[in-house]
Amino acid sequence: MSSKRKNLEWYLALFALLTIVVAFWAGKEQKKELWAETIHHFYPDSLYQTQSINENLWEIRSADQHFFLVKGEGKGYSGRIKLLIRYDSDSMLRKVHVVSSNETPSYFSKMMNRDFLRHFEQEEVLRAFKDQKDIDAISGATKTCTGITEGVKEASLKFAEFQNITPLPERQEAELRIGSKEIIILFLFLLGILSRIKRFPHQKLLKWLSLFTGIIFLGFVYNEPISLTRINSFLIGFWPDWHSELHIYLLIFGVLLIFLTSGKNVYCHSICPFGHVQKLTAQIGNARPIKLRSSYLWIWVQRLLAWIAILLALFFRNPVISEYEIFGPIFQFTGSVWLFVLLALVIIASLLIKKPWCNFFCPIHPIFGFLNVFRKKMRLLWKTR
Amino acid sequence: MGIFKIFSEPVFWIIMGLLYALIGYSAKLWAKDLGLKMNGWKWLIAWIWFLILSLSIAAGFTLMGENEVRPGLYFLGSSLIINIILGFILWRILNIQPKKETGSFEQ
Repeated sequence: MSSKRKNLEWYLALFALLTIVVAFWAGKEQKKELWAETIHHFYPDSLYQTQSINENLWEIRSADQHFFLVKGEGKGYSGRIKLLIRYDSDSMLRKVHVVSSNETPSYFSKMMNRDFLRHFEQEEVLRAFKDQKDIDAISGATKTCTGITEGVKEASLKFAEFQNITPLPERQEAELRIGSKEIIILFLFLLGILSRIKRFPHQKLLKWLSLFTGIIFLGFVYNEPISLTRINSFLIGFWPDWHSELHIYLLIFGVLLIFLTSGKNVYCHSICPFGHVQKLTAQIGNARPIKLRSSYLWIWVQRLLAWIAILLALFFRNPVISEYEIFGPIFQFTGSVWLFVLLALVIIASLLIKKPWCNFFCPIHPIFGFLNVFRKKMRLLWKTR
Repeated sequence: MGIFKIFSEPVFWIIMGLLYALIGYSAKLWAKDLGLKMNGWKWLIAWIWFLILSLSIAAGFTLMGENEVRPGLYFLGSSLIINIILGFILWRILNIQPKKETGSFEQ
């Protein structure tokens, strides 16, 4: 690459970093208080009298009703889910209102369509702490359901303390959980590192092993690829609980560590499940790499898409607002119609062209490119110090 | 739904039957034109693929006819992708040429 292009890349990377910081701060200013709006929406002032008891609890009265509204929050997949729970004066949970959430709309709809909130309604206040087996999460929207359950528990504890209900359930300390997800990710890392060592024998075996492990486990079973939604969540400040989701930290920081130290993108090469799907379809269709005349322009289109998506997510404080990845449709059969159409086109294209999603659309590749610009600059400065 | 009334018309099924008969009759000519060396196993695989394709299209439109338009479209879309991938696999299988025997003994 010419030095002119390198300099251009450097200045554009700096510009991108600056705009990301600006979008983050501008998004913070945008943050609105939704609690009062939600209360007035469901319980308008013309029919109900609202009195705030503390910052988490409101007392509502009307001609024939008397109940309480309590705030609750839980960690969903891509942000905090804020709930307003209605308890009657006889300590029965009557209604769960979702105030706001940043969950992917199709996953959220899945949960709502299966009436998940009904598990908690018309039950006594501490029901959420008992009989965990009765509250089945909706398959494919597990984290959303877990987040809502957490929010209901939090609100129930607050209300039980207010009503002096005893005995209160003990607040459970989070325990570190190392399970199959963590083991699979470490295994994929090992395969990825070994496959980069050219002298290591059995390269074909490594390739097929990482392909099927990635597709089956990281893709279909766990649906945990590194996605733009996940990166946006981290940038916004929503970091999942490391006790129960250690695999996310292992995956993201493991990939970053290897990349920053060796310059090798082990994720795209050896771990990404959708990359493996494209490798498989390329084998089936005998796909060829495509050489475009304006390939450098296409790289910038890909970078532009990722940059705009990140800015929108930071500004609107919603990691899924600019989601255009097709991992949900292929691994969980969940997503908007347009994502399914895009998935169909990418799968057909991948039969004829090698890795079309990775080369033209994937936002993860430009993010590594962005980090690589800074990495190279730091190395250069270190060498010439 | 009015648009799906055509599927209950006898004329439609007569035309479908004629088309399928034509496809079956001309399959051998198609294989010859494409330069494929067919045997019993290849014909079997090809006909299984064609059956899966036909059933997928039929199932999708049946769902739509039963007022399940959205599931029908999703089913059609996903099954057509699967059939395209299976079609590529079929094409590679059909293009496998039998190995020529070189049985001359040099003296």
